[in-house]
Order: sequence, then C-alpha cells, then structure tokens
Amino acid sequence: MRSIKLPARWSRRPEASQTGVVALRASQAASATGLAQGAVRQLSFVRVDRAGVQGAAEITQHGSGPASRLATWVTSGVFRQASLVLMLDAGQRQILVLDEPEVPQKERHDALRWPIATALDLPADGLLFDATTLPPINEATTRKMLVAATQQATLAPLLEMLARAGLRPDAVDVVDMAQRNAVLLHRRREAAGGPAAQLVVGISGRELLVGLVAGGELCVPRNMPLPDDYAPERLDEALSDRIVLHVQRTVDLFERQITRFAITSSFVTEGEFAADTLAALAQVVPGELTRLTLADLVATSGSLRGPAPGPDAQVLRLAALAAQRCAGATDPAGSGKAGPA
Amino acid sequence: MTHHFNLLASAPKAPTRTPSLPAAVAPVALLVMMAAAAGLAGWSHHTQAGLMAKLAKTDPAGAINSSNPKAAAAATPPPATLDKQVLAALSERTAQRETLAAALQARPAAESSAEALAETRASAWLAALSEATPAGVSLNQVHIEPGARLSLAGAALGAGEVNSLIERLQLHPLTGRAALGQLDVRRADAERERNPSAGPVFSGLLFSITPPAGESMGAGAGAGAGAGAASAAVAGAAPGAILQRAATP
Repeated sequence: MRSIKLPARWSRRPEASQTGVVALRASQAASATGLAQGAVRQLSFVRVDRAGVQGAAEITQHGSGPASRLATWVTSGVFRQASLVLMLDAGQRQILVLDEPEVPQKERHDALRWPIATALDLPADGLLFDATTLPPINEATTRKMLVAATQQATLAPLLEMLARAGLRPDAVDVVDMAQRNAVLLHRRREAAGGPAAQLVVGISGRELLVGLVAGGELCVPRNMPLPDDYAPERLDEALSDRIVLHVQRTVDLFERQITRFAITSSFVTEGEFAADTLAALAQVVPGELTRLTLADLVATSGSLRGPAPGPDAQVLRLAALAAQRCAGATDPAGSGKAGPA
Repeated sequence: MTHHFNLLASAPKAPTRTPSLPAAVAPVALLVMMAAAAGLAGWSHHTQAGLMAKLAKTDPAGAINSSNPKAAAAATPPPATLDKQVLAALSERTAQRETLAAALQARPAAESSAEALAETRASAWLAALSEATPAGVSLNQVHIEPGARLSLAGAALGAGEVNSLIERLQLHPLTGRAALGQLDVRRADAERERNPSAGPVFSGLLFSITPPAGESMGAGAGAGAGAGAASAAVAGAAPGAILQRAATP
C-alpha cells in the first residue's frame, strides 16, 4: 500500500479568540479498500457561532461547492476565529462496537488498535481512531466501546487539501456522532430524563444509519449498505420494504438486548426517505416518529448572508456536529469536554 | 458528559502490539477458537497454517512476530496435548463439513424448490455455526448484514440462502445453552471489492464472547481446559478478543 505522510502536527489547539465551530465535509471517491480515498470532489460546511457570550448556538454561515471553492471561503473569513471540525461520511469511516479492554487507561489506546485493525481487516499502523466507553444498556458485565476509525490513506488527501488552503482541523469526527448530536439537540428542548433511549435513522452516502442513543451516547449502531443509485424519489418498493424490515428487526433486537433503557421515541433525518417509506417506518418504530429538521435543532442567525439552509440532511448533520460542540464546549478538539446533552 | 470524537488524536506512535494479554493464554485460546471456527466453511488449511505460524511467534509481551529469540523461547508454547486436541477438533470439523457437503450434493435439485433448498442450506449453515461454537458457550446474537457472502462446504450461499439464514437467525435466536456469547458476521463488501475474483468468501467472523454475569474469568483459566473455557479466558483476559478473517478458499 502506498505510504502517505501526514503533516507532522496534525491538529491544533483552539485559539482563545475562537468564537465558532465550522463543520466541514468533503466527499471522495470510493476505493477498493472499503474506505474512500483520493481527491476531494465536493465540499460543504456549516458555521455555528454563539449569539453573544452566553447565547445559544446559531448558524451564521453555510455553503457547498467543488473543492476549488475552499480558497474563496478562506478569503471571505468562513474559518476565521473558529475551530474546524472535519466530518467523515459513511464511506470514509468505519464504526463498530468492541468490548472495553481491561487494561490501564494509558494502555487503552494500544489495546484497541489491534482488535480494531483485525475487525476491519485494515493495517493497524495506518489506523486513525477514537473510542468512547458506552453506558451499560443491559446487565452484561463487560463494558462496550463505540469506535470510529479511518485510515491515513483516506484522511491524508483531505488534510493536504486543507493545508494548501492554510487550514488545519482541530478534530475529525464522524457522521454517526452528528446523528447522535441531532437527537441530543432535539431532546434538549424536551424534558429529558429517565432511562429513555431514542432510535435514530438516517442515510449517509450508501449507508442506512440506524442507531440507538441512550445515556447521551450512540450505543448500538446497526447500519445497512444501500445500492449505489439510492435516491428517495426513485425508491422502489422492494428496497423500501428492505429498509423498513431492517429497522423493524433492529428495533426487535434492541428491545431484546436492552434492559436498562426503554426506547421511547424515534427520529428520522429530514429529506432522506420517501413518504411511503416514512409512513411504513412510523408503523414499526417505538413511540412517535419525529422528523429531525434543522429549525428544530439550531437557530439560523438573522445576520446570515445569502439564503437560509434548505431541508438538507447533510446540512442538518453538519450543523448538529458544530452546534453540539459549540453549545458548551471549551475544547472542540478534546474528548468528553462538551456541554450537557 | 458528551464525548466528541477526534480521530486525529490517534496517531500511531509505537510499533503495534497486542494489549496486556497474558502470552500463555492468548495463543492457546486463539488456537482453540480457531479450531472451533474451522468448523465453519471457508477456512482453508492454508489460512489456518498461516495463523498458527503467526501465533507461534507471539512473545510473552504479546508482540506479534517478535525477532527476539529469547523472548520467543520464553513464551509458553501450547502443550503437545493441546496440539492433538486442536488437530482432533479440526479433523472432526472437516469430517462434519464433508458429510454436510455430501448430503447437500446428494439432494436432487428437482426435489425441492429454490426456496426449500435455500432453507435447507441455511439450516445446514446454522447447524455448522452451532457446531462451531465452543462447548459451554452459546450465541445470543448472530448478526449477518444483508449482502454478506457466506459459504458452506466450500460453496457460496446464494442471496436467497443468506436471506433465509438471516430470517431464521432473526426469528429464532440460538437457544439451548446459557446465553453468554455474541457472534457477529460482518459483511464482506470490502473483501469482495478488494478481490472480486476470489470466489466464495466466508465473510469476517467476529467472535466477541462475554463472560457470564458475575463470573470471574481469570487469565489462564482456559488453557488446555476445553474449548469453552479457553474462549471465555480470551474474553476475560482481553475483552474484545476477536478472531476475524476473510478466508478465501
């Protein structure tokens, strides 16, 4: 495999003057390794800032376009005084749940690398990953960890592109956490409490994302690959049935496995499912099926230049990723230091 | 507290090594796990031999492919009796596979519809899966992603057969033993894309066996004490112990 050198210093600490968070996604071509590689095709971003010192996070800028637009965005100050978070889509990351290694905390990183590489059948030395311990969802004694991983070959072209534009990301996150954040942001408006869990369904690239948010974390991702030409407006009946069946089985599985939480509500990201599919999904999910819409999660600044963001699930996820970090985060690059769910 | 991922924080800093897995347990337990897994179709002797050779190079610190001869010599090798045990298990599984293959081939295609044949083969796969489970360990979850490529007795299961298998596993979780295990069969998309001409592929087999609640699985408890105990020892010593390989026949 071709060795790709990453910049010596991959990330930077946020500057004290930073006031916002920019979430950026960059699409790449699929590769034979199962993770995307190669040049960046399309970019989109959402910038979220706090309205005042203690104000709520709100969208102040957003945009999308070919990779050549990046320089223009930099010049116009999109990334000024903001931390930059790169969001990896479904084709750019792998997500899995592993048992928490019973090793001292300082060894955990090394302890995880090998099983992750084995599970994903990728070279261990080229892996980039992060993991979080999940809250117990049943009586099993072994703690689980949610792991997101990618490989250097996937990330290197993205970092190189950003470096050419004079940018360095503070963090690299994944679309699955954006799904979680969307649920958490929505739940913040409710009287959250009790052992409630939420089912969340969305689509990223060629992957149906089905997960359970419990105890503030995405506990059980159970995703399903979709055909290359998936489009909600051209969804055939068989595929729609397959999606609904997968969700139904996932719910059954969750309800059998999970004893410490009750699935009380279900969410689906807007604009990614045909009306018939949504109607069928509503019949099989626990509680009411709520469509996650951008307006329900993050306000849009009155000073926003240009058109307001439309009903686009990718924009919603970028906004959720940025807003959750911005809402209470003092260290957008760090782990476990964000505000309350 | 909500955790935020940052994949940038995981730059490889040192040569990869296994976690604090007692060296005396890891090779032994994994070998026994392999013996169990070998009962599933798609495990070639070539792959087994390669893995065994790799495991034999595991040193006490857990480093794979150590070049330190002293460390390699100090590693506790699997006792000879275990070799026999493993070989016997492999032999038994091979015989089961051959019997199964013969039964499937002997079945006249005209006798049954495609669905019935798919059902039969799915049942056979399920039986093979159950057989491959170490004694004393049961499966409380089998997860096969749609699109997975599975093989049985060296022949690939068709899409209908995989679907039938998925149906059966979803509707009828394996029972009859104490529920303490978990087994995932992950989709083989990556493998298929990497080597489209490879033919039937038994997709990644991911064992993640959890000790029963309240039971302590001490390191070394399973060494030479039977497949089930050894598997549990893997879990006890290094939760998340995984045996996963996309084997190409």
